[in-house]
Amino acid sequence: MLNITHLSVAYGPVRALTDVALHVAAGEIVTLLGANGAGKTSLLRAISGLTPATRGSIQLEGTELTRLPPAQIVRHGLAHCPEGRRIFPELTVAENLDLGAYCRPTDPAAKRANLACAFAYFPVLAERRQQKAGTLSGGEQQMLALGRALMSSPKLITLDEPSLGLAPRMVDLLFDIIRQINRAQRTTVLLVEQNANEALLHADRGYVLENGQITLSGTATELRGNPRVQAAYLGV
Amino acid sequence: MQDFLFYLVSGLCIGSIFALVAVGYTLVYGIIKLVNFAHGEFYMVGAYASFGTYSLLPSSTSPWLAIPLMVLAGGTAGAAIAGLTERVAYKPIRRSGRLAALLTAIGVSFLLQNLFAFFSQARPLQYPTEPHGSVGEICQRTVLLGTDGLVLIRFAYIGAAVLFCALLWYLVLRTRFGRAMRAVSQDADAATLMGIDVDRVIRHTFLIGGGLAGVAGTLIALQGVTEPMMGFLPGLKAFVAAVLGGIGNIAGAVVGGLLLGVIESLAVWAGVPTGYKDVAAFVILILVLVIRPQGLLGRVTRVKV
Ligand SMILES: Nc1ncnc2c1ncn2[C@@H]1O[C@H](COP(=O)(O)OP(=O)(O)OP(=O)(O)O)[C@@H](O)[C@H]1O
Ligand SMILES: [Mg+2]
Repeated sequence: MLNITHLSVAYGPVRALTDVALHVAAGEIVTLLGANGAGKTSLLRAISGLTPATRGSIQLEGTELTRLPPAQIVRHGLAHCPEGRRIFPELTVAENLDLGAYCRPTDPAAKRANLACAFAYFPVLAERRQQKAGTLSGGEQQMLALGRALMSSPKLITLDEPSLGLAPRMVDLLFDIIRQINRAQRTTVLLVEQNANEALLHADRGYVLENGQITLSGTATELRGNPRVQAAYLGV
Repeated sequence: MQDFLFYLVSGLCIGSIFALVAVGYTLVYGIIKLVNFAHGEFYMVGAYASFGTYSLLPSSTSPWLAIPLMVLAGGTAGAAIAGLTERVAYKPIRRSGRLAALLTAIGVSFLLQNLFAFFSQARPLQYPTEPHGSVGEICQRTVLLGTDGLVLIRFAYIGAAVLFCALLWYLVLRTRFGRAMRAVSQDADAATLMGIDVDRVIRHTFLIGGGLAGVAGTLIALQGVTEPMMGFLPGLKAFVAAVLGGIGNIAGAVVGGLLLGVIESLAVWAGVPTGYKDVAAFVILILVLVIRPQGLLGRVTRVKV
């Protein structure tokens, strides 16, 4: 599904990613762990084209993304839930969801189905349909961000720290739904998390990113058992 | 009291022009947070284009055909120069910070003023008021309001403002493009992630704003003069109107424009010498910035963490 090789990203003299290789197979949930500043957000932004790659290749089902304008990448089946949710605060919940389907204007049936699906996962969004998104609570905003991502019928969803700032119960609910989306929708998920415990519980495989380089990878079980991961990310 | 009515209506007319120009100011600001000081020059270019169109039309053309054609030409030229300015001057420096953008805008403004001063040899143009029934004569006709004669064509300002603001309202709130515009103005990166071509939205916003300014310039020049500096004061006043209404807010720009026109006009009614009426705008700007910096309809936006 997603195949990244030799990826480097730099902000001027600051090197955020160096020679990263990462692979996500169709139907998987893969998590990317790393401390603050490791380069997780930079990686997701490079995939969605917001931050240009300085070197390397990113392929989504064989399509090279690094050469596409960012607004086109969505049309190839990628939905990126960015760090900090980035919903449109002055637009209503309904308008936010509608914008999620912006890239598929010719498919009203899919849009209706996706909307029903988003409302089924997050009933609160249906209740708050006409409310300005900026007035939602943090957790509701995260639901909206995820619902909005679903609206484009993505093949791959990338999530940047969706659990940030949420209460433990909300985190459980959110991860449950991410897993349901993965199962029911056959949507592949690349999940960036600081909350390694939860992430490794739900993911199939994982990577560890340190100072812009992948230093470890393996199945979720392997990573949970790895002493270095335990010390650095699981607080064992 | 009859005087009051004259000044009120007169203020609403000129306020409609401010509104048309202010709306473009505010649209561009809303999208890329640029105070486009060259906006008044789009207005001037519109006036020149309509004058050029007038000169090209055969003298037998009915004014009722000529005037709409001139307005169309002015709007198109305003849009074209705005699009060109965006492409050549603003797009390359979009990521270079707001000071660079502001200085570029001032530079573009001077450049356009001087280009037109050079090519027109700084001679103001006016529509000839002869013969009877010509464009120039029709646009000087007045109607008696109280004891004063109000130039009839000024009512067209109100008509144009109502028409274009209604169209814009529909575009922004009811169409797919309008939703994309609002998304870009709130968060350009997130809009990109939705598949919105941000560059295209910005380009079209300039076209719309420039078109409205071009129409406004054309309407004003119909009964006044066309000259290279004509956009300077209206541009500044439209900026004040946009700030007064809350910059970035479209309804605010309309309200701000109308209010500014009326205040200016009533200041004259109340005895302020005509030469000083322009000062009213800047007194208002300072008052707004001190008392209510977000403007009348502006909101202080809060960010949730
Ligand atoms: N726009 C930018 N300009 C310059 N440097 C940047 C920029 N964005 C990120 N960086 C730098 O790149 C490195 C990686 O940042 P990134 O945001 O990808 O980290 P992260 O793993 O997402 O961290 P966090 O967990 O805190 O979100 C950091 O050193 C950061 O300072
Ligand atoms: Mg991050």
